Amino acid sequence: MRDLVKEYLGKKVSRRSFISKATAAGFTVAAARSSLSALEPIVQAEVAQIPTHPDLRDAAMQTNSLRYSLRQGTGGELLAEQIRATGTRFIFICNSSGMGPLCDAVVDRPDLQFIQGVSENQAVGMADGYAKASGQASFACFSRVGGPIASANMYNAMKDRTPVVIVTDHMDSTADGRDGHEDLDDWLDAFKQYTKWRWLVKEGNRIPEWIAHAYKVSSTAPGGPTFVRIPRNVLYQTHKAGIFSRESISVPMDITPNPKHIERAAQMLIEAKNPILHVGHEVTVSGGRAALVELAELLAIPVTQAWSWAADFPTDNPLYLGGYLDPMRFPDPIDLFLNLGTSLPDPGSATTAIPGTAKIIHARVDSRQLGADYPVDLAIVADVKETARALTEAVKSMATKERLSTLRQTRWSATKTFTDRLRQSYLTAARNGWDESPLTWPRLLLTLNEMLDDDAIIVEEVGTEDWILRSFPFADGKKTKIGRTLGRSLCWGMGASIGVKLARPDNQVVSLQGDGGFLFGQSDSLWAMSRYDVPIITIVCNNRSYDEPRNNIMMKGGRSRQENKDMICYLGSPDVEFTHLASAYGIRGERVVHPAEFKPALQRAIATTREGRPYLLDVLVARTGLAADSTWYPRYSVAQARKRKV
Amino acid sequence: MKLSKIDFMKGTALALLLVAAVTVLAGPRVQERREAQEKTILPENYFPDGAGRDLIFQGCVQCHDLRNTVAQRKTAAGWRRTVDEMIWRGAPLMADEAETITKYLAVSFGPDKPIPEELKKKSTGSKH
Repeated sequence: MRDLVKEYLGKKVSRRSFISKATAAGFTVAAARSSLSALEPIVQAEVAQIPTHPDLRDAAMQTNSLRYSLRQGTGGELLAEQIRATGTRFIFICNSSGMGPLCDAVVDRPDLQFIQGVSENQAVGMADGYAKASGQASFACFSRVGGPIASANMYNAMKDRTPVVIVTDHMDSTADGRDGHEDLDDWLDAFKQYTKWRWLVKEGNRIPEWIAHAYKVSSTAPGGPTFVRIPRNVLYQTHKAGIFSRESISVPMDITPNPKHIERAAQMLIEAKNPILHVGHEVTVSGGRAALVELAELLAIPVTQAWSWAADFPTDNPLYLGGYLDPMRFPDPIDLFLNLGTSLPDPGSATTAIPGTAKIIHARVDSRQLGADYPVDLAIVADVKETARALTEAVKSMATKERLSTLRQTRWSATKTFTDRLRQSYLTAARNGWDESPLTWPRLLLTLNEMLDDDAIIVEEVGTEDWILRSFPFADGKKTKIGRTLGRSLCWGMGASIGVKLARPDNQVVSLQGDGGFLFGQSDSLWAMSRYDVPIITIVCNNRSYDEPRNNIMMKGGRSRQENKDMICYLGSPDVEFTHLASAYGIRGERVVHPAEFKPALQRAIATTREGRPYLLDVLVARTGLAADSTWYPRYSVAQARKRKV
Repeated sequence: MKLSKIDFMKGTALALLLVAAVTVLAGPRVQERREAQEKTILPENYFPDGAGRDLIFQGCVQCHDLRNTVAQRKTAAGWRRTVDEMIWRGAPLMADEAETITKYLAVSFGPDKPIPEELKKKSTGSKH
């Protein structure tokens, strides 16, 4: 439909032809006619090619290129037109009086599709998942008071640098700034840390300008969420403004690295005895996985995966070591640390320090963290794909084939031996607990890998990433991992999986959730899953506990550990029946108690999703680690505390 | 001699000041002693010689302090499960090494071995 609209606006098809093509595409004649009438003012307006706003006109004259067209309409219509011009199809929206003008505008724009969420945080989660899976900026909008609840997933998007444009209404421009109804002194300041850029639009004829700006900032690497507020009265008033084309707001960020730096880096790589490649999300965002594999395989450099929402290097490649550890058992000692597309390992978190003996090359497009935490030997600001390509070419040109072959063969063989043994060790450890009940994590994950489509997408928000990465071949053309977020604020995965499925409808999508994570308000997303027939398999890995925090707290050896009192992590009371939650939203599901029940249940889930409906499996899994057997929690009964039975 | 109300109040205030001074002066010393005691507990001192000892220092210390290890007592099956869980989570241990470590832990820290008193107190915790 979008193409048809373009053809019509470009005067390539007549009105009659437009209606006939639209009906052939499945739209009713009434809908096609309605679309035509909505387009009519645009056709009329386009006659006047020169923007009337002086700033726009001047800009257009300066560039001698009219990259926008003039529109007249309500603020809501201008907003819709600008969203449409960026190529956005899905609008992730929540109920809101303030979004009324946009609702009115979308009535006559059938190529824009609302996907409604029942909570703002889940709507942002959906938008985040859509952006991650599509590689395009996504759009979410909701009430002016929805920001605070949405801020958790805004924070997650910011940490992952996901391009999400978020718009809310705002108190009328005639009355804001008085701490009045649904107003604050400064609505933008509250979101400063959660957004890459934010703005309060006051002039209706600048709505497209700021929306276009939001898209541009959001999608220009390193991306991130942007936040625009528009007063409600401005959204309802009529304005005239230029709409920016998608091309005009696209900023190519395939920045090539400085050849001098590449030459130096290539020399360091050739000379290194035990180099390591540490990779992160910019590899995936830049589309650089294939280039990275070529570089790694050229010199047989072992690869470690940083915390990332993506699997940035194929997990089934013999060079893949897993997470970075200090000290690494292999290779040892590391003498060169090539960091591509992520922050350097943070000694304050689970990923540990780089040995002082290693030289450090740090390359990424996000320059904020370059050299910030470690004295690096060489910093390169450039697109990661371009950097990997350039390094490959430089290495090839600076060493003879024989030398490269020698370097490669020795390391390849040693690395493959190590990773084969590591893989075997994981499978052995998995088999040791295979017949235990409840189901162990490795059995659940390895069974999923066996039964899901080869190109299934796993949207995961469970505690420990390593057992996810070890259980699936995540690689181009194979399975895809999206999640967990770098921000790790629980409440993202369910909404995100909807966005992923919208972006990739022809891939099997599994939402892998912990029971604890699901209980962070994520049942809200079942509503959208059901309403829009989103065929996703949700698996709630239910160990009736927050495993990670329990282990982290107990590991400290404080009073909780000494008394074996699990103060806040046990979830078995009440024992939540997640299938009942699904049922409330019209979603079928079943609880898996015994390990043998898992495969048949998964088969039913797969069959149901193939028919076009979501399915939820509530799978009981084993707790792990310290105080895993504890079911104690600090009890309190309000009923018992009463003095009157009221 | 009968104390006046003012004398009594002065005496009470003086006593309170003395108590406060003692607390302030002693507080850091108690804290220092505790910290010093904590520092003297080196988990490596509690690992007896054996085939698994070196492997533990190669494959376990990346993610967690070992004080929790030496402060626990488990059967061979319990230690097997613990080592397996660590491998699930990404511990760089090979299958044969896991076997060696499991046997070593079962012998060194089985249910029949008493836990030293000093290890029952607060540990230094995980690296995470």
